Amino acid sequence: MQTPPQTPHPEPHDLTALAYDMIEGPQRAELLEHLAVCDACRATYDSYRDEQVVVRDAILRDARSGASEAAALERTLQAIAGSESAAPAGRVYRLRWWVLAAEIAAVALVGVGLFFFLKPDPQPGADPAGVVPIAAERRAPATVKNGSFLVSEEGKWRPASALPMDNWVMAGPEVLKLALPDGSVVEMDENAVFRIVIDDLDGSLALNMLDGNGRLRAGKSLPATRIRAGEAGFQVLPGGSVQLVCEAADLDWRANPDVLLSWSRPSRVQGQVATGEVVLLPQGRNLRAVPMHEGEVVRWTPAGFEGGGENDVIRYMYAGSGDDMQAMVLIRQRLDGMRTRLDELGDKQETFKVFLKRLEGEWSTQWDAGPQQVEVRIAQPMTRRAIEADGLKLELSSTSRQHWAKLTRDGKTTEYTAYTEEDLLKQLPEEARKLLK
Amino acid sequence: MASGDDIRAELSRLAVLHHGPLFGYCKRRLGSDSEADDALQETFLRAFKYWGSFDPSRDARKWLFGIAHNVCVELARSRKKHTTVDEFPDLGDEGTTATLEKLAREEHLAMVRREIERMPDRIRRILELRFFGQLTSAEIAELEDMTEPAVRVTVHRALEVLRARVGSKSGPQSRGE
Repeated sequence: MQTPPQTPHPEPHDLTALAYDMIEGPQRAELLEHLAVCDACRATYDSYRDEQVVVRDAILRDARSGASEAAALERTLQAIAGSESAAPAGRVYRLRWWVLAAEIAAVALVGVGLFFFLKPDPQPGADPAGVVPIAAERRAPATVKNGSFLVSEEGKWRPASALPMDNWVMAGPEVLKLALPDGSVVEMDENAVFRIVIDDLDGSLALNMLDGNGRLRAGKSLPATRIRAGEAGFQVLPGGSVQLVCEAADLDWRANPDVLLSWSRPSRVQGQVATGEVVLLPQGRNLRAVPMHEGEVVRWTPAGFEGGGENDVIRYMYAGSGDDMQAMVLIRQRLDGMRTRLDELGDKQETFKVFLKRLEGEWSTQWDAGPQQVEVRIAQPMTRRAIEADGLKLELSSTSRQHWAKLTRDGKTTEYTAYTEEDLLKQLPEEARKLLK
Repeated sequence: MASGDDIRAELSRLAVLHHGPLFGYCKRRLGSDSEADDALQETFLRAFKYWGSFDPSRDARKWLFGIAHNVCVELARSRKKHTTVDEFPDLGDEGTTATLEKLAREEHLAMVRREIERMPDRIRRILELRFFGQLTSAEIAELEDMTEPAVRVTVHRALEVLRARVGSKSGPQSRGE
């Protein structure tokens, strides 16, 4: 049971103001003190707080407009930089029109004083030093759809006239949304640090992330952009998306972006396939690409790879544990599945088909070496049997990890091999399968 | 004393940080993206002009909202925009305890929006300054040339009207006891 309030009940309008966060300082503390011991006022306050959420949403909703905001920011930065900057003619015309109208009215009504109040500051020869100019050849091929950004320049985070290539960028206080030429969409959360580069893997566009949260969402066709953070790189298949969470621990980069120059890798990275399919492209450890499915996660820390959930493929590849043969079978199955789905999507997926073909080539090398390694190390007993009928001779042998068949007809022998009995049977001709029945 | 370049650099930084809420506020006040765009530019041009009067110990965001507020008032006035203002009904005691619990639903949100649009322009301005600019009642009072208690009473009375109107339209079950 609460003790009765020691202070008088506040005025209703003060409770409203408190619930709407319009009061600061000692009075706020006093009111909260009262609420702590007065159930009646607390109940009113709580209902006002609930109401405040609705009123806030009603007011804020639809007032924002990502693309217009981004364009308005660009023009505002140009206006700040000085009249010599090339602002789009239409907008400047409108600005001058109403400023001029206001100036004339002010002169007529009040006098010369207000004229100077409203007149934009003339800055002959003004150097737009506040905004980092990004020359056309340095600009990243990305369109800002929403939000804002700063670039690291001379030890400071500064606004720039455009999004640059090969330069660390920090997203502003809202989600920075970028559209890329291949149809991909990038979203960087508040204060995320990243840069747009040309990937040394094959010259495609890529994003490097250093800190914060970011997402890459592929369009329906031909996306070729990758996103990388430390050891992890991700190529998103059409319709898929990947979410990255990065930490650049122990770096005070917000205060001093110069540290970025000497450190370009996050200390912790978590990548998760949010939707669809993604190929994990590891970097720097001589590791091979791994196809990932929706929901799968990979994590790196300074101590190395960490976890990977229930994904045998990733755990085997990065933690050195798990069933190596099973991992290879899964990878092959996943690559086949990806190619099938790309075929279903139509003819515009040539980029990905070439990409997957290259991956399959890599994995085929590994595939050839796999059975020997497994057989020697695990030394599973081999079972053998032979069936003869109708001029055919079928010899079968298998371990728990591999299956072979040798089919002899008219003195000619054909050999088959597979990692599951089911796959082996699929390879055999119908007449051989009849023998088994 | 800060040079022109220093001021431009700082204002550019502030523009990147705060342009979103400022743009939203101007759009809400003026009604279109293009007018909000103009107002945003003018806000920063004035900020440049009057940088010398800015106290660095103050919150720059609130200072910018004060300028944007004045710009929007002047723009709206110069373009002779009229706002339909409903008179407040006499509530009696009925609406004061109405609850808005059910407003979380989308249709109620739309209803609240319509009711807010019917509020006097000054009330809407105060609420918009609160939510876009995160200004306190004292800061809003300064901009609106009102006393601080008057701001609070005005807002409270307007919300009571809102509670009553939305409560009555939501049916008897949403009325507070």
